[in-house]
Amino acid sequence: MARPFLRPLHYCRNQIHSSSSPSSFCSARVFLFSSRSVILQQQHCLRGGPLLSRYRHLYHSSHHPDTPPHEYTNSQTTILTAALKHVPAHGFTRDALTLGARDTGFLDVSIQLLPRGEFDLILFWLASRRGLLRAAVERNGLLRPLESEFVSVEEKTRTLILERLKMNNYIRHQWQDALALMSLPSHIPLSLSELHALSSDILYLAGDTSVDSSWYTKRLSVSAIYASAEVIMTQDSSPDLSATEAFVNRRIEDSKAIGDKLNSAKQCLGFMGSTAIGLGRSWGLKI
Amino acid sequence: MLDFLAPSALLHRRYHTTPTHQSTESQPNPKAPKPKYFLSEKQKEFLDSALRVNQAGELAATLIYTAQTPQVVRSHPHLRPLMKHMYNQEEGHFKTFNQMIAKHRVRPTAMYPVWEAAATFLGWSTGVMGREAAMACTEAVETEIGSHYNEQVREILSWEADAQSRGEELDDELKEMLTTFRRIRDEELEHLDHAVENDSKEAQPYDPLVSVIRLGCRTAIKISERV
Repeated sequence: MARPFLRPLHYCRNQIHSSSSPSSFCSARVFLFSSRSVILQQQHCLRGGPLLSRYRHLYHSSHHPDTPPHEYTNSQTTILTAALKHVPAHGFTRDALTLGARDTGFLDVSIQLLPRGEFDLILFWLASRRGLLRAAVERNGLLRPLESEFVSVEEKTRTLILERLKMNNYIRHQWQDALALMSLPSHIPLSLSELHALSSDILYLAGDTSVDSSWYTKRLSVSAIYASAEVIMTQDSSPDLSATEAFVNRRIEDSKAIGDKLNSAKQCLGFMGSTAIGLGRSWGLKI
Repeated sequence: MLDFLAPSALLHRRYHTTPTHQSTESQPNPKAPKPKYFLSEKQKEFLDSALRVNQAGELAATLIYTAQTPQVVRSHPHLRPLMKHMYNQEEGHFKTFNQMIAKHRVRPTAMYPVWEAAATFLGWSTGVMGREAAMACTEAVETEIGSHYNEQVREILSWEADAQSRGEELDDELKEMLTTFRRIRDEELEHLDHAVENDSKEAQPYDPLVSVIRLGCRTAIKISERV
C-alpha cells in the first residue's frame, strides 16, 4: 500500500504563521508548547488506567441513562470519527489518524491524544459500531418485524450478528490487519472485553433473559460465532456476503445441536439419579 | 479534559451517545415531581453485587429445602405444611430475584453450579442428621441471610436520606426494591423463628454445626459479591 503524502509538521506551523497576525502566531506557539506538556501528562495518566475496560456490566435501569459505549473525550471522538473515513483507503494506521486530525482542523501532533495510536482507532471502531447496533434496534426498530412470540431468541441473535457483520463490509479489506493488531499480547485483554461487551449487548437486544450458568455459555458461543465469522468475512469474495451468512447459519445450527445434546444428557442423568434415590427410599434407606 | 485543543468551531459540537433525560427536569417547578436521585458508579456496583448475592442465596435456599424435605417429613409428618410453606416462600423470592437480574442486566454468579451442588449437599446431609439438625441449618442460614438483607436495606435507606437532603427522591424501581427487600427479610426471619420453635437448639452438636454453616454462608456471600 502506498504511503500517503503527509505534510511535515513545520509546513503546518508556517501555514499558521502566514495566515494569521503576529500576535496570534505567538499565541499559537504558546498553545502548541503548553499542549505538549499536557499531552505528556495525559499520556502518563492514561497508561495507569485503561480507557475502555471500564465498560463493566453494572446495574442497568430505565431510570438511569446507560453508560455510553466508549469513554473518549470530545476532541478524541472528533479525530477518531474523521479518521474512520480514511480507513478504507489507509487502513487502521497512524496515517488515517493524522488525516482525520487534519480534516477536523487539529494539528498533526494531536494524534498524541490517543496514547494507543492505531489500536485506539480499532477500539473506537468496535465501540462505536456496537453503539450503532444498539441505536439501530432501540431507535430504528431493526427487530420490529421479528417482534412476535413465535420468533426465537436465536433468530434475533442471528439477525443482529449479521447486521453487525454488515457494518464491517466497507472496511473488510483492512480488517485482517486490524485483527492482527488486536491479537498482540498487550492488546488481547481490551479486545476480549470489547468482544464480550458486543456479545452481551447482542443477547440483551435479542431479549435473552437467562439468569443461570447459561448466561456464560450463551455469551461464549455468540462471541465465538461472531469472531470466527469476522475472519471468514475477510476472505469472502461474494458481493452480498452470502458465504459469511451461510457460515453464520451453520455455526448457529451447530451450537443449537450441541446445546440440545447437552440438555438431553443432563435430563437423562437427572432422571436416573432421582430414580435411584426414589428406589433407595422405597427400600427404607435413610437417604 | 483536553477540549481546549479543539478548534473553536468544534467546541460547540457535543457528542451524545445516549439521549439525555435530565435537561427537561432541571427547571424548578414546585408542582412538578422531585428530581430523581442519580446513582453513582459505586452505588450501581453495590446494587450489582447485592442482586447477584441475593439470587445465589435464594437459589441455595430453595435447594436446601428441596433436599431436606423428604427426610424431615418422613419421620415427622406434622412438619409437612411448614416445610411446604417455607419452600414456597423461598421459591417466590428466587423468582423475584431472577426477574430483577434479567431486568437490570446483572451478571449471575459464575459459581452457580458450585452453589447448586453445595446447597443440595448441605440440605441432604442435615436432613439425614435429623429434624433438629435440619432446623439448626435453617436457623444458621436464615440468621446470615437476614442480617445480609438488613445491611442492604440500611444502605438503600442511607441513599434515600441523602436524596432527601438534596431535595430529590429515589426512582420507583429503587423504592419498590426497598419494600421487596424488607418483605423478604421479614419472611426469612419468620423462618428463623419457625426453626427455633422446632427445637433447632437441641441439635447435636449444636455449636460446631451452626458456626460451620454460618462461616460457609459468609464465605459464599463474599465470593458471590465478586464473581
